[in-house]
Amino acid sequence: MTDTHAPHEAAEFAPQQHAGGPGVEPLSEERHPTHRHDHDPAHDNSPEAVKREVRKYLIVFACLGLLTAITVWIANFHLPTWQAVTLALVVATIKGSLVAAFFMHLISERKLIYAVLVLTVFFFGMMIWGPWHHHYDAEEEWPGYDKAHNAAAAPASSQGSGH
Amino acid sequence: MDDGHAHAAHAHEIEIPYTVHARPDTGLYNGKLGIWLFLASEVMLFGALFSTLILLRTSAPEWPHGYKLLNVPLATVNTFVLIASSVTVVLAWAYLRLGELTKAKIYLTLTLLCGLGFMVIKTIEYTAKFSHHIGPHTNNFYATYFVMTGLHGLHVVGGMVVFAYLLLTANKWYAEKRDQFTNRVEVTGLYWHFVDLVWIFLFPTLYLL
Repeated sequence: MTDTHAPHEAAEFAPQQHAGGPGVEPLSEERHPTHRHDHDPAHDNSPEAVKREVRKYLIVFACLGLLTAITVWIANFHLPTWQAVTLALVVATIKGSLVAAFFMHLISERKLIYAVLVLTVFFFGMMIWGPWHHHYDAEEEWPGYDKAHNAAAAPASSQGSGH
Repeated sequence: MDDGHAHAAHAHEIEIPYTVHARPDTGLYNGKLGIWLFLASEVMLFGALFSTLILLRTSAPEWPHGYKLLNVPLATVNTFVLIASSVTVVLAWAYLRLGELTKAKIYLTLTLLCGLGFMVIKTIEYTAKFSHHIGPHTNNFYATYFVMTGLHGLHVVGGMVVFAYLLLTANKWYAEKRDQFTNRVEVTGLYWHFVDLVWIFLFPTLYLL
């Protein structure tokens, strides 16, 4: 780590000189009492604050359980594919957001992590958008390829012989 | 620690920087930034598989419904098991912050057991398929099912290995470097929540649709 160059006199006072360089700042973080509370202001370690968090985690747990039950219940209706997909993904997104926001405490995180995630979401979006795009292209250029899909409501009807 | 180093006696003085305190330029301790970068790459890994699933499914004239072929009740139980394990790991972290190592270890053990339970159920599901000579080779549906749940299962096993390691070394770590150990549990938890999150999307897309 060379981002905190100690002045030369500090190096002279360093008790142990290693080949790796002068004994600069973060050698033993535990021994810097002034830093004790500065490392993560998002996390208040007071018993009251932690207990409040624990209560929050249990509420989120209950919500996740309830949403899981709802997804399974909805699936029993065997809705038409697109409605089923939309509903299932909406519920999954709500569940995922709860996990990310509270368990992964993204709700109070540093800017750098948000920046990393914005990039990730962008590229993830591109990957998901690709196949959809392909799907609509295929629908336009190849009418009937999706016939089986559209005929799902009428099971006895003829199958599209796309392939 | 490099035991062969000439300064082995003072090896404990050479510590990995910013394991506890935030780096001034990132505002984060290194482990946390590291795990988030890793999770970003994981999003791309699983994202590629979800992308493939969408491509295969929307392009196929016919695609079977997961609920007709897979065991939904078992997978529902597994969903609850994994969500519960996310809660236990976050409680372990909370108790470490309160200075209660014993309770933290109990919750870490519960997390490990949940992971084990998940894998046992997964094995039952897989065995049922294999016994009917159904495998990734059967069709595109089973190919995506086995690849995605298989990769996810590997992630569960990976998490279990880390939890086992944390449990085995907990007393020593906690006595010597309490804050660093607490952060390790937090960071492992972040990974574990991600594994839970992937399952939250895998479960409906593979089993319920």
